Amino acid sequence: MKNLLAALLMAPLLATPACAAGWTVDYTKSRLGFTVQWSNEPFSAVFKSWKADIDFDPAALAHARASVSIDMASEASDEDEFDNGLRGVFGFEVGQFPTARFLATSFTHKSGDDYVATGTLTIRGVTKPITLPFTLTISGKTAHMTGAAHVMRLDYNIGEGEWAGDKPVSHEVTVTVDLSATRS
Amino acid sequence: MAITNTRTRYGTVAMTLHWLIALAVLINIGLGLYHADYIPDKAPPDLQKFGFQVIQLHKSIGLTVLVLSVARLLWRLVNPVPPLPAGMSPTLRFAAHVTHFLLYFLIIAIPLSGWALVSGSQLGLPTPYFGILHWPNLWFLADLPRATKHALHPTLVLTHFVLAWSAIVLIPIHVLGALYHQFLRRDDVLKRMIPGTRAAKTA
Repeated sequence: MKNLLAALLMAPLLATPACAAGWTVDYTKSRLGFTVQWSNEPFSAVFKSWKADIDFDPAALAHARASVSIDMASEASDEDEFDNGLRGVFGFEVGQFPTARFLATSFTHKSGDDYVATGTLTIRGVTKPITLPFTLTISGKTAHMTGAAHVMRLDYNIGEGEWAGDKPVSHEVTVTVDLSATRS
Repeated sequence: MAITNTRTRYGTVAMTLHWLIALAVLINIGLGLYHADYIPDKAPPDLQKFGFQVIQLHKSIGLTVLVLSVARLLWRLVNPVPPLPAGMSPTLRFAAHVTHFLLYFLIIAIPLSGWALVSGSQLGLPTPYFGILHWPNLWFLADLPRATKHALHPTLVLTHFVLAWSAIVLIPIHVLGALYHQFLRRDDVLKRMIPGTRAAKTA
């Protein structure tokens, strides 16, 4: 009980960037997006506006944590009609659900530069567990991370009704992240 | 009433096809004009869903027009239509034939252009024909790479648009022609296409 109380009191301290290894994301060099098969061809889009709070030290993975909030209305591709549909009621329904969240609460080191983050992803108000394998290279104060997670869009009620089939839009979606950050 | 056309009247098959197509075309012009108003993703969810259903219904009705119109054309080929009344000037006869030819052309070409538009769309939205069967896409358009579809899309839209507006212009001319026969010439041209009416005693 005492430990729990102490942990609760400590929690806000742990969350502050000043405490552990905080990182400042360079959004101009970073990219968050997704790829699906659409009419038997890959279709990729990005989110132009998102924000990541990262607390990560390879030497102290038990305390690592990442929280990403994504402005779903910032979805963009080279197909305007797709973007309109994806933001609309049959897609992310950004009017009702403007923000998606990725919360990574557990990190494990695989080998070399390879890690796995596990946590939850919330889209359209639906929260599901998610696993994100990623590669991380740190040189001095800068870090570069790339990763890809596989999600099933119907888990999040994306594209129901007459869009529910695996064609033209595949059920499986690959979420990709390419992130550059400097230690803050 | 005869099933086939006679010298003085259209038969029940021709009449049924004419009026079913007329009804379907009028509904689809309404749905098409509504659908022409692009519904943005910021619109209320119910409006977006309604807009989507309008598009899907427009597709199903349009394909129905296509099937009925091909049937009608085939029926006409094996079953000659009653001749125009005597006493019409050559100019008027020519105008009537051209109008009818164009209308036949349009009721087949408009749904075909719509089918092409849907098939060649990058979206690849399925067509569940009135929710009862999956209507296939035209493979030679559906199988094109997305970049090609992207480039082709404006042409397909324009084709459907121009053909549809031709019908919007031509239909009132067709109706005015029928009314001219009925009220100014006082012949039986309109009556012979209306079920239940009695044909005038021979032309």
